[in-house]
Amino acid sequence: MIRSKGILILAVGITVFVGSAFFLFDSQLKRVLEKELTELNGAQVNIGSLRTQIFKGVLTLSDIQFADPFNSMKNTFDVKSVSTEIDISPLFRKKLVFRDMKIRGIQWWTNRQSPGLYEFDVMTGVMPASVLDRAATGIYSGIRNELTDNPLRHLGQLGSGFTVQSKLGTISDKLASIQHLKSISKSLQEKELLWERQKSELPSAASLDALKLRLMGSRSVRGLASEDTGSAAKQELEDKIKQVSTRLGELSHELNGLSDRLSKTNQFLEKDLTLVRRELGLPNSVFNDLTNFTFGPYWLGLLEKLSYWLEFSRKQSPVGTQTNSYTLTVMNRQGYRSVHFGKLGALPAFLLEKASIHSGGDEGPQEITMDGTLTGLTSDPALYRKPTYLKLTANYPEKGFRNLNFTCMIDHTHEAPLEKLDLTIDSFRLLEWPITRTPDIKLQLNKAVASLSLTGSFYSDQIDLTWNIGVSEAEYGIQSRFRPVEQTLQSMLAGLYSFNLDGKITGSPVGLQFEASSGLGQKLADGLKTEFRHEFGALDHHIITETQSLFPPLTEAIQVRLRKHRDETEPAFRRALDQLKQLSQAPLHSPAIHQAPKG
Amino acid sequence: MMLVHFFKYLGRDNSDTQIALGIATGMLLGFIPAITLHWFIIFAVVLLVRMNLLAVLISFQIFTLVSWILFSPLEKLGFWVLTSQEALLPLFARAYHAPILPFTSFNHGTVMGTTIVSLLLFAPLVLVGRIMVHRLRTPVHTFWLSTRLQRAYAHYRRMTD
Repeated sequence: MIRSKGILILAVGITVFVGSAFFLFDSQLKRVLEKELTELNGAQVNIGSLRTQIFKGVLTLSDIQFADPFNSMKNTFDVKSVSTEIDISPLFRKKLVFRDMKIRGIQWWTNRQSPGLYEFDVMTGVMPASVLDRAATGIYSGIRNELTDNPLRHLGQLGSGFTVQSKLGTISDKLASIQHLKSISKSLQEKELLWERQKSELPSAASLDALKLRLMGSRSVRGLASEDTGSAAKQELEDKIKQVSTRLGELSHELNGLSDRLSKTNQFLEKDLTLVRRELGLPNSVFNDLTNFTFGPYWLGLLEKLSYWLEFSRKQSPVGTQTNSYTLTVMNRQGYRSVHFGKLGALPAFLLEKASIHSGGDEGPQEITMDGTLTGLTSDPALYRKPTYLKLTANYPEKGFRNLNFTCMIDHTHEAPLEKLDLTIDSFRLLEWPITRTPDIKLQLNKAVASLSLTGSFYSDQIDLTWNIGVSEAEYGIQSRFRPVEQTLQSMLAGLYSFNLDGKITGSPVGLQFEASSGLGQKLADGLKTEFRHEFGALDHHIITETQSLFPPLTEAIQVRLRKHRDETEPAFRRALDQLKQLSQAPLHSPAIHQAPKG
Repeated sequence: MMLVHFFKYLGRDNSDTQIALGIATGMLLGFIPAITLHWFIIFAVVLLVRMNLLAVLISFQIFTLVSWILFSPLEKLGFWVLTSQEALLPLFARAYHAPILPFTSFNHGTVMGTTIVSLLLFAPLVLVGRIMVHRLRTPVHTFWLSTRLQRAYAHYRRMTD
């Protein structure tokens, strides 16, 4: 039953596997690490050397270069050495525990010997975004749409004029005034059906005669039966008068109401003005501060990038579920889920107990002075029961970067994830910082010195992010296809050397609140109102005139129908009412009365 | 001709039981993901125990495809077993923190689902396989002899001999 050759093949196989693992482990690990980090970076990551000392439990990496995705001959940064202690015994339990990692010598923007482009899989055809470009796009699309109403759009065309007529036709259904007219038309249509029915129910000449005869009979004949008939006829007549009178009143009231509504169509023009501007991308001047529109999309972009990393951390380090005495952590992998089990205090599948980052600045100006610690990075925070902390201080005087303090806490130890971050930078240079880019205008901060204070808290899906940026020594870059606009903007911003930019984002992705204000935004809003007031006035007039030109087909149709009801339906009701009233008031003489014997 | 000799070698152990065992073991290898410890143990068993290797190979191919098609329900089954049975939690927690056992990746939904299903199917497949092989051996062999491929091969053998 046992295959003797099989034992031999198995023995050879195991020997080859163990031997290759022993002799080729370092190079294989290096290759795997380079591949994984390259995918994470979106550009090549090269490791100069990797050495493991399994029995000592030490792993050392040196000269790790992270290529820049946009400039293949440059490294975004490189790290001189990373050394770490690895616990050996957990490895037999498929657990990776780093006790003390030391990251040394971080350099910024160094040259590369060979291009660092990422050779992505051509078959899949998807090139991953670089680390800095990854964003959870789409989750804040609601507020993003609000922020696209940048009043500076098409500013240049203010002077040259717009052709809104053709475009207005395409959005006419969205206009409040048109919707108002259509609603009048619809109401009228519904009422017309009622009125026609009521009109058909008006007493005819024959029914009036019959009623008249019944009434005459009651007055001519004395007797119980005839008195009953007479009072019923009288009651019927009174009811009919009442009914026709009420319906006539309602008809007149409805007709007056519809006419009144029709006359108020122009009240919606103000609303339409804003809508037309937004839909057609025309500038708007109703705001007191343009910060939301100018800086909003940029900040939202940063929030989307931040959200990507939040999602990433929540995926890699998920919260757990507590049963009676066990904790379960479910990790969503590609297409499947893996469950981590354990009691409180059990060893997580991955743990980086402590990492210290130190970069002294003694390797030349490109080296950042940086000190930091990272503690408690784990795949199973519910087991480890300690939050992850990252504390970082950095200085990079060469690039005008002073006193960066970054603190981050990732607490996934409870059932709802909580992340907090705090970032302050005393001073950094802003170079070519875009303020607004529209087809007509490119406005940016060419040069400035800034300071930043940012505080953020993310609890479950609730975001609370506030920031303050102080900008000084500002130099603006203004370019426009339209010379007058360029000159006007230059004069508007002349003298604005410093300003504060405050912002706040709160709420959940569904109902995100975005508030921002700045000296620059206020200046731009004031400038728009004063410098371009004539142009805006002309544009408003033009939009209103063109919008009003859409009214006649609808208004005329409504007016014709209203007139028809005033000329035909209303008089018909009135006539019927008059006849009924005459019947009730007129003395009724009939031959029967004269012929009846007295006594 | 190397290929023919190779297939002949693979099909050498051809008793009813050996073929049935080959089919069932191929099913285990096809269902269970190849990155796990127990997959390698089953593979070692294939090398050590006399069974029809051709049957293992064919069965492995077929059940890999079946496993791929049934990926989602098998994953759901595995996840349900891992998370819904509170009585099993102490066992899973113990196994998860024990030496070597975590290398079976039993805590992955897919691995648990495929392992359970393939283990449940193993014994019935051996029994049914044995009966089917016994019944179908002669008709299949007759059919094989009637194929053009077999006739071409026989002709080739006559020419070379």
